[in-house]
Amino acid sequence: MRMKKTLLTSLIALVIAVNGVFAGNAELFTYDQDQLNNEFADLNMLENYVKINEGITLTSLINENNPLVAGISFVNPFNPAIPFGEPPLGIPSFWWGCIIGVWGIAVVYFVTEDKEETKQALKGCIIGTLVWVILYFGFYVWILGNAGWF
Amino acid sequence: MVLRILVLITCLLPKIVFGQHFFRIEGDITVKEKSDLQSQLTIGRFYYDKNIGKLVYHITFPEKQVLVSKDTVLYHFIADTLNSRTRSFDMTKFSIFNLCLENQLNNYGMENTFYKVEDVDKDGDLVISTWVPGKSHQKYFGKVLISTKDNRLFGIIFMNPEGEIVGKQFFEDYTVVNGLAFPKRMVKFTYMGDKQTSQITTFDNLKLNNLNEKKYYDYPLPAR
Repeated sequence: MRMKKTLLTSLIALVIAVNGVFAGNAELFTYDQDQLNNEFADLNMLENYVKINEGITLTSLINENNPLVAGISFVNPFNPAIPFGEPPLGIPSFWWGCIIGVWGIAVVYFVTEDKEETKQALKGCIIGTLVWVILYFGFYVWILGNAGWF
Repeated sequence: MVLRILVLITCLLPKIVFGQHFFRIEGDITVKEKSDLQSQLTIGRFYYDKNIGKLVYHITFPEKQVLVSKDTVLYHFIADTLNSRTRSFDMTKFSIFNLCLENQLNNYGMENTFYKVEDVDKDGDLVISTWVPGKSHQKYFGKVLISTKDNRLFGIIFMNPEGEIVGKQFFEDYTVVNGLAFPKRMVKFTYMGDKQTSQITTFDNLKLNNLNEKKYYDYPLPAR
């Protein structure tokens, strides 16, 4: 009888311990569904109206003084907040790479922080290097040709 | 004859066992957002091809326009004419569309970031994993808690380095399209001090691997 009692107590303790270990942050993963529905009631009505009246725009709704948009302050979601990176000193990124090479790429990369601009500088660097190599060998061929090697 | 059938089965078996390879997804999208003073409603259709890497939104409301996100640039077109080009974070890699196609939605693609799993707990029907940023990022980034329910992503909680909650996101109403599970509703809360922004995104009419609509999946971008 005593043995049974000890076993039962141990089992209860184990269950509590396991639950205790696993108890965590589930309450953080909750929100008030009713409050959210109330908050979005006007937008839900507008959404339904727009979906029924295909092709309708916000401008046309405002122009016709539609009550669904009255009292709602709309924000333009596509207003550019960060202008696209201008190349350093207004000189195209291609020429930064083409003339100054790797340093030009670094300048473009750190100043614009823009992948597309950096790609342009890289293209410039590759083309600039190729042109330089061709000119270099062309010059030597010309020198050696004049010296009577060919 | 038997040999031919066996060869055919052997060739088709991996396809049958591992299912389809998904590379394209499209669907109707509605985004509703509310903050203290302003509201926003956006309705349109999205197109994403993970091989092309362009996330295209063909928007019909509030005004007709097209948004294209590629790498770190967001292109804005009105009547097929480029209206603006803005720098943004790379929206494609961590978009729900890419994570779903790459089968990484369950941990929100965190495995491929500077975050590492610190702890995994079970709480009721949720399995909650705690992700911490690497030491060099701890000054600017806080913990992220990710919960899954029935082996599907349920919610994410973003914290700042001080441990305060700065954002919550919930993934609900899953649908299965051609074997791929996709949440039809996302609810997001962003907290900045005592101000809160709530956002509800819903998806509908989802299609996978549509080989038509090339115009949208590979929307032409201006050459620089």
